[in-house]
Amino acid sequence: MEEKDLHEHEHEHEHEHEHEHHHEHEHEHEHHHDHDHEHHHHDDECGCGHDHDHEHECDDPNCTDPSHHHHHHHELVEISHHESSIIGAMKGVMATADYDEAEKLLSEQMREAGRLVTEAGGIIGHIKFVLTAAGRCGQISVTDVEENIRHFDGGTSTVEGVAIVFAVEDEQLTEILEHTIGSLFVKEGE
Amino acid sequence: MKILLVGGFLGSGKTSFILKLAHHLIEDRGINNIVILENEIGEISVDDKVLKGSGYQVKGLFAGCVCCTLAGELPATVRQIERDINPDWMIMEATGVAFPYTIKENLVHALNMDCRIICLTDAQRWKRLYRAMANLFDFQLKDADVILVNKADLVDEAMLAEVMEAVKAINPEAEVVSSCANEAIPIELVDRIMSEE
Repeated sequence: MEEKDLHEHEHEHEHEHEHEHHHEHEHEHEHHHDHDHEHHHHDDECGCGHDHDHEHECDDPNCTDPSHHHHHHHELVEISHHESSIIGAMKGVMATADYDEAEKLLSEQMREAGRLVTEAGGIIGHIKFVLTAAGRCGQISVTDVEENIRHFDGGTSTVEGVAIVFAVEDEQLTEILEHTIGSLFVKEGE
Repeated sequence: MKILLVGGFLGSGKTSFILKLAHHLIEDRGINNIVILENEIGEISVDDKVLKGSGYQVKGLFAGCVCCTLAGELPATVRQIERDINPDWMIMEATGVAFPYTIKENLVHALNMDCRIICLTDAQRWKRLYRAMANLFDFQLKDADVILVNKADLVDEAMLAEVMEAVKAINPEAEVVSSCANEAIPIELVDRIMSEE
């Protein structure tokens, strides 16, 4: 992707502000880690309830109808926007109580998420998660060039954090985060 | 209540700077009544957990930016901090996409409170990020009293000089100094700007 100025917004500072967050995944989704996509015809009668303003070329080798779109069933990633940044927030539980193992797995997947964002032509602001397990806490922060881990005092066993990036599509960021960090999370009922 | 606003792009080292500054104020000067006002644009906050976990008194404004979407909530929050805690220092960490000068304007206009601005910028990522987001960086560095060109140890001298020069061109009024994680913060500089009327 050709890099261009992504922040051409002119700030007006009259202290009249409105919230600019657009939550595009507030509808209920059924999440599939293998990213099975439900295909159907998207037309005026489509009652899917999804706020899809985009259509994807169908990757089903047997499907050539460009009017098909994909229902990406996501519940792990909450996407919002601020100016030109795209924010993907996630929270989950990993299937290990060993802090060191969890930190290693999480940092690997965070680096992979960063690599995929860059590969998709995006720019990483930062990818930052807090991990708490077995009474230990750490904050892992990843950019395109470095990774920092900072330990501090804490309690329970969860993973939560955000990826703030630029110049990728919402859906791209959602898929990247689900495939990487989301792959570590325990699904309900497991 | 002294107010220091710490700005700069995502990943530039704002939280690390604040941790060092708060540690210095408390441990070396005995100034214990410090509040850190943390603003994060994400629904899930991450830096406030580190600051709280390090033992500091932290107030948060999340899921928006106080330079724009949460600007209306900033005066009330600052007023509440002043009323309930009345700290000696309030250190405010802006989001990584905030324009600090607009936060300052808000404080001045709404509360008649002045503040000083320190902005950090990442020397290692400067060229790539500035090429893509020049306007954001220009507005972030505007009106900063001090600009720390951080992560100076991760670039060579020529690159550091290039970044310092570029930053000075954006904000000729600011004091521009280099910094890195394994060095102490330039506390004399902080003292100087915080004592200015």
